[in-house]
Amino acid sequence: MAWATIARRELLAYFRTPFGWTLLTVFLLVQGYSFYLFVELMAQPLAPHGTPLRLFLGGTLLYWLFLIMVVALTTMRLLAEERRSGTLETLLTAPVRPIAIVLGKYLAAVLFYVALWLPTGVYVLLAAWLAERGTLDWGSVAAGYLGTLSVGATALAVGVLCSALTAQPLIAALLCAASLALWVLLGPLRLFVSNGPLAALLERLDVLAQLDDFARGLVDSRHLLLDGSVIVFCLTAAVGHLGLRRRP
Amino acid sequence: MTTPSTTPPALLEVCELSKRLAGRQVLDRLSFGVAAGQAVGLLGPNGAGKTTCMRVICGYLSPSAGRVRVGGRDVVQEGLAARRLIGYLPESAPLHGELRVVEHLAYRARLRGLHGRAVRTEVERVVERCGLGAVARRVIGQLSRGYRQRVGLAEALLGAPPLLVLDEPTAGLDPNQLREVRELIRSLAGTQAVLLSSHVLGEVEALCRELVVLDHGVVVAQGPLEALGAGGGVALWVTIRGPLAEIRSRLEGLPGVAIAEAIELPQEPGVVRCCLSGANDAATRERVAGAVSAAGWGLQELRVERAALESVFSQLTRERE
Repeated sequence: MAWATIARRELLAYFRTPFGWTLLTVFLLVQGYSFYLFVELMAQPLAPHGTPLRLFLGGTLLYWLFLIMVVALTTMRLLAEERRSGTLETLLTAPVRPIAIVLGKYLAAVLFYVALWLPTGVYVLLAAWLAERGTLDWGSVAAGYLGTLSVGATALAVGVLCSALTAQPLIAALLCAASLALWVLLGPLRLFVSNGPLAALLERLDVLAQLDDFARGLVDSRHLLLDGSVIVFCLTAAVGHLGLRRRP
Repeated sequence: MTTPSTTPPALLEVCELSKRLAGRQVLDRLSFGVAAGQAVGLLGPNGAGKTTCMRVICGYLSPSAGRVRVGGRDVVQEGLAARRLIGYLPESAPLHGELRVVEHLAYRARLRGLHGRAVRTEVERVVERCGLGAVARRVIGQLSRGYRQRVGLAEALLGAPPLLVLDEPTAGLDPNQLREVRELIRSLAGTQAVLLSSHVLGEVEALCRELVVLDHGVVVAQGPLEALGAGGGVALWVTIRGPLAEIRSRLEGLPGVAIAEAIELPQEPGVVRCCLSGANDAATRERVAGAVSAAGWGLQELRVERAALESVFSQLTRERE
C-alpha cells in the first residue's frame, strides 16, 4: 500500500532530522512548564473554577498559539519541500495515486502530532497522584485528549492543504498559521454579531467552545463531524491541486 | 524531413501530441514511437520542448491534445498501469538527501509495488548494476553529482520497467562521470527501451541509433542516425601532387563536381589538397580519380567524409528561426 509506505518514510524523516527532535524537546519543555504554572495557579485560594487539566487541554491562549506553531512547522515541508526539490515529479510519475501521497503525508503528520502529546500523559499521572484519591475525572481527561486529537488532526489537514499550494515551505507555514489563527478567532467574532443565522453559524464553528466542551468531558458528535468534514475537504482539495498538472 | 524507419510495433506511441503551457504552444502535434529494446534520442536545442514531452509521456503533465500510449496503455486514461511500465529520470535527478542510498531505493521500490524480500533483492540488483556498492550505505546528500545521477538512474531501473525515459542524464557531469554513466546507459540497450533527451549531439550519437529532432515543439526530423547524417551529403577530400591552378581548372571541368576549397599544403610544396562537394555517388568519384591519373599527377589520398550530424542538426533547427 503506497500510502503506508509514504507515511512510514515521512515519519522516519521527522525523527531522522534535528527538526523533529528539536520540536519534540521544545514542545515538552513548554507544555511541562505551562502544566506546572496551571497546577500552581489552581492551588491559589482565588483560583478560577476548574482543574489544571482543563486549562492544559485548550483552556488558555498559550495552547492555541503553540498548536498553530506546531502544526505550521509540522506540515510546511510535507508537499512544498517535495515540489521545491523536484521529488514530487518522481513521486507523481511513479505508479502511485495522488490520494495515496496526500493520505500518507497526512497520516505521518498526525502520528508525529500524537507522538508529541504522548509524553504529556506523565503530567496526567502526576496530577492523579497529587489529587485526592477519586477526585480526578478520567472521563474528562480522555475527552480532553480526544478533543486535542480532533482539533489537531483538523489543523494538520489545513496545513497539508497549504503545503500543497506552494513550493516554498516558509510560505506554506505562514499560510497555515494565518488560516488557523482565523479559525480560532471565528468564535470570538460572535460577540460582535447580533443574533441570527450568522451568529448561529459562528457558534457552531467556535473551536474554543468545542475544545472547552471536550475538556469538561462532553463528547459532542457534532464537533467530531465538523472536524471530520474539514479534514475531508482539505485533503480532497490537496489531492485535486496535485492532480491539476495532469489536466489538459 | 527524413521518413521514419521501419520498426516493430512501438512500446511507446506518441500520436499528434500537443501541449500548451501558460498560453504558449510548447508541443505541436508530435508523433513518434519507440520499439521495445530500442534506444531513441530526443534531440533539440534548449527550449525545444524535450522536457515537456517527457513529462507528458511519464504522466506528470497531461496532453492538451493527442495521445500517448505505453505498452498499449493510455497515459491519461490508464495512468497507473502506464506508469508501471516507465522508469523516469528527470533532468536534475531529484532525490531525498536525508536518506541513505539503499533506503531511498527501497522506498521507491515499495512505491513500485514490491514487497518483502523482493525489495531487498531488487535494490541489490540495481545497486550492483549502477556501480553503487561503495556508497550504498552513505547519505545521498553527501554524494557527488555523478553518484547522485547514478542513484537516479538506479531508481529508474527499479522493477525493470520496459521503457526508460531519461531527461539529460549526463548534464553537469565531469568527463569521467560522463563516460561511466554513458557506459551504464549503453549496457541497458537491447534489454530495455530507452528514450533519452539531450541538446548535445555527441551524447545522442554515442548512445542511440534512432533520433527524433525537436525544435520549437515540432518534430523537424526523425529516423536512423545514419540516414539523418546522410541528409547533409558528402565531401570528397583529394590530395594530389601537381600544380594548383591546373588541378583547379581540370577538376572544376568535371560534371557534377564543385571545388569548395583548394590549397597548396604549406608543409609540402607542390602538394594540393582539395575539398570537392557534389561527389555523392561512386561514378563521380571514379571520374575524379581518372582525371588525376590521366593528367599524370600523383594521387596521394582520396577520402569520403560524410557531413557531420552537427551540421544537419544546425541546419534543421536554423530553418525554423
